[in-house]
Amino acid sequence: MDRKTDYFALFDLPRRYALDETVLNESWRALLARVHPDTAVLADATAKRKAIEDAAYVNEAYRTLKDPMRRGDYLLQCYDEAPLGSGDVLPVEFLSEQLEAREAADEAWRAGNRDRLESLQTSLRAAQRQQQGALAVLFVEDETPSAEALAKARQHVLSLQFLTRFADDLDEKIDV
Amino acid sequence: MAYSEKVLEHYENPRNVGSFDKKERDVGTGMVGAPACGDVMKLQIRVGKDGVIEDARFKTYGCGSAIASSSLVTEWVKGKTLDEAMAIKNSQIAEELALPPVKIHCSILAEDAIRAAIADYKAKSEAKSGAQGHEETAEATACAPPTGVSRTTS
Repeated sequence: MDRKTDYFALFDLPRRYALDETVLNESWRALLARVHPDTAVLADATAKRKAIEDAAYVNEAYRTLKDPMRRGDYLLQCYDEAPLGSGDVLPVEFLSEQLEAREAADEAWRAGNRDRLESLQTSLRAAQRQQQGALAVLFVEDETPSAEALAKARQHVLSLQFLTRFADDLDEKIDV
Repeated sequence: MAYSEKVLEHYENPRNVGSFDKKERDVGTGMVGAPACGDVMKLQIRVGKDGVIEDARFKTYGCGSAIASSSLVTEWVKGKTLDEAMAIKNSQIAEELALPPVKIHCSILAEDAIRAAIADYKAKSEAKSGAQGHEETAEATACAPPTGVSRTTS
C-alpha cells in the first residue's frame, strides 16, 4: 500500500467535505481485512511490520475523515494551507458569543440546572452543524477552492474546533 | 500534570475578575481565543488621562494556566503606560508562573489579549480625537472671528 495516498482516494471517496459514511465504513473494513497484521502471521518480519504500519495508516485515515473537525482540517491541508496554529484569529463577535455561552453554562452547572445545560448543548450542536454546512459548500467534488474560499474554510474549521471543545466540556458537565 | 504553586495560587484567588463597560471611552477590550483548546479570554484595561493603565479586569474560560496567565497580566499592567504594557512578553508570564512547554500557548494567549486591549483602546481614542477635531473645525467656522480681528497662531 502506498501510504502517501490521499485519504479520500484510499477509501474510494470523492474529495469533498460532505461525507458518505456508509462508503467510508465499508471501504475501511475491506481495507483492514486486506492489511490486517494477523493475515501476515506466517510471513516474514518485514512483511509483518509493513502490515502493522499499513493498518495504522488506514485507521488514522479513517479517524481523520470520520471526525467532522479533522476532516475539515485535512481538506485545508490538501490545498496547501498553512497548518492551523496560534497565528489564527477568531472574529470578536464569535468569541463574545462563546464567552457568554460559557458563562451561561457555568451558571447552569453551579445551579445544577441540567435542562439549561442540555439546551445549551443543543444550540452548540446546531452551531457545529452550521459550520459543517458551510464547509460542505466550500469543499465540493473535483473543484479546487479559490483562495477566498480557503480563507473562509479556515475560519469555519477553527470555529468548529472551538465549538467541539466547548461541546466536549459541556458533555462532561452534563454527565456529572 | 501538576500545576505550579503560582498557577494554583492565581487559579484559586484570581485577581481582577470581572468586566468594565466596553462602550466606555477610557476602556480597551481585548478578546482572544484558542481554537485548539477552546479557551476564550477577555481582558480589559481602564486608561487614565495621563495614558497610564489605572485598572484591569479579565474573564477567562479555559484551563488553570490560562486563568493564571490572564490574572497575572491584569496585575502587571496596572500602573504601566500603554507602551510599557505592550512590552510584556509571553516568556515573562511563562517564567513567572513556571508554565511547562505544553502550556506556553496560554501565556501567548494572555499576551495577545493585552495587545488586543491596547489596540482597541488606541483605535477608540483615535476615533474620539478625530471626532473632536471635526467638532473644532465646525465650531471654528461657526464662530469665525469677525473680519478685522486677527489671531496669533504662533
